[in-house]
Amino acid sequence: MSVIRKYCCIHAGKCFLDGALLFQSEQEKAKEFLAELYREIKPGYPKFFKMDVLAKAGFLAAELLMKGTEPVDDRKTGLFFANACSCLDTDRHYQDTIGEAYFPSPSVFVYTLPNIVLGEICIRHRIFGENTFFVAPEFPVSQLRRYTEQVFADSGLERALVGWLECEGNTCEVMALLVEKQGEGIEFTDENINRLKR
Amino acid sequence: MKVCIVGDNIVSSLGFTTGENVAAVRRGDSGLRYYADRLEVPEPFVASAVCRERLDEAAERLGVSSEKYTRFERLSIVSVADAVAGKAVDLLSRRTLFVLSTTKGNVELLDEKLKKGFGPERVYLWHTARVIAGFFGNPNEPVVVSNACISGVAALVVAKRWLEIGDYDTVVVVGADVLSKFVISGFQSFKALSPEPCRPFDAARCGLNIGEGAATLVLQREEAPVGRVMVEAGAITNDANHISGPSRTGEGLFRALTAVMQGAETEEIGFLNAHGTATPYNDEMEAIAFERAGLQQVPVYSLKGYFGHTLGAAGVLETIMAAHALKEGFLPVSRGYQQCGVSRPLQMVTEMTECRMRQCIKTVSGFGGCNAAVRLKI
Repeated sequence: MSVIRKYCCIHAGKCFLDGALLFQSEQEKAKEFLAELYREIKPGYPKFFKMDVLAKAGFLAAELLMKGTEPVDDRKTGLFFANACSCLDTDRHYQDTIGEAYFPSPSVFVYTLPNIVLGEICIRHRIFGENTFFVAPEFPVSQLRRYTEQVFADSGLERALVGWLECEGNTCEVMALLVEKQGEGIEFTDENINRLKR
Repeated sequence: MKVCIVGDNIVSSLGFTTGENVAAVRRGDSGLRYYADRLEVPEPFVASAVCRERLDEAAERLGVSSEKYTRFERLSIVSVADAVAGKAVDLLSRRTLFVLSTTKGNVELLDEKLKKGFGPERVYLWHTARVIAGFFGNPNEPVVVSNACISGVAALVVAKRWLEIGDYDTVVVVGADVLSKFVISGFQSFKALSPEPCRPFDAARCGLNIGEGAATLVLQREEAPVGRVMVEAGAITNDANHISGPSRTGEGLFRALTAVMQGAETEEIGFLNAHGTATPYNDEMEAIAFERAGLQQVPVYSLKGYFGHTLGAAGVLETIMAAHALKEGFLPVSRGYQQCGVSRPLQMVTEMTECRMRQCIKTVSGFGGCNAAVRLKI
């Protein structure tokens, strides 16, 4: 049975780790809140400020989940995330740069792919395993859980970050889980994932 | 039980069926053209575009009008309809799943001038996927994979897993992307586009060309497949190195190749269909990874000189081409290649060759440091 070792929920204004409130602020705009959360947990990673909001949210969730975990063989960690809006906010931002005033920027364009957040997490934590980004109208709890279990069964992967990373407009809604193929923790079931959502 | 290809289709600049596309590649035709004034992009570019009139005609026959369906959706629907035509596939069944592979879907609708009557929900990829699966009456929520340039092969790996989980008897993988000002300008801003037809792995290569198209693979599990191309192994990895630059050591691709080679000998691999975008760094990275994986003696080709880089369609389209190369026993010429331009010499295919081998590998690499590979067997 796979287990949830740690879990983290982030909304603009509040961040929870393993069900406990880790940080809160008056700030209800996602971008600004994530910057405050960064200052709170001090990852010491200035590249954070170059990221788009989606990558920032995923980066911080991964930071909280991976902190203090014992290292595993770097081939054996994977990332499975989903959201509804892909990277539409950055798409809109980029679209604004190619209208009448035409000044397309590579540093904006690169974030017009939703899996860039997975790349950022892989770079930070030296993760070489499977990294797949799905788009679904709502958190596909059962689909992500069963897919993760299947990857554990067929690929030698032993640990995964799994979750929902939705950032659009000023809001963000993150639920991320650190899941291990076996060990101590909360049973990795649909019921438990739904119960742990904040 | 084996995951087998039971149907396929390619809609590209080179044709509207797999047969047309295979025949065009065998003749050495390229779909790449020079466009000086298209999509309101200020700079000219070379790209591979699907014929508008033929798309209108094919879509019309299916009742897929341009008022109700976007260009992206029409391409996808036309591709799926042909892939399943005459096949024992029940798209209405709960046991059939649609998987959509795309990088940008209907992103062109963000442009006020192109929005027409389409609602704001149409730019969401999950919605686009529902429109496509819904056209065929499929009752399941489609799965959307959006993993940059590896999306197509990643979607194939995902589809294989869902068949192995056992919930579905059939998975329809459709990969698509369309030419847009959004994508062309973005790659131009990266200085990644070649001003002429691209030259993968060549010494004079100077960038990629964007292509558009849709490609569909219909997959099923079979006990004892006869004459089918099977998806033997698949892997997705990351370089953990850079979000927009390929790894200098080919780490992720090397790991993907190592994973799909488990259970196979190098001597059994007839060819490697590389990603081969023709950017200086990508092709060099691939050459390093191929050598590290011990595959430097295996014939290599890239199809980008025929189709351009079709983004979300590429992994599906090129896997279909590889499957047909295995079936028909030929190696396509790596168009645009003349002189070795990578530090590790590769066995580039420079003339059409017969291939009697029964296995091959298809690889892709993309932004975000992602890589994927599949091994096919007939």
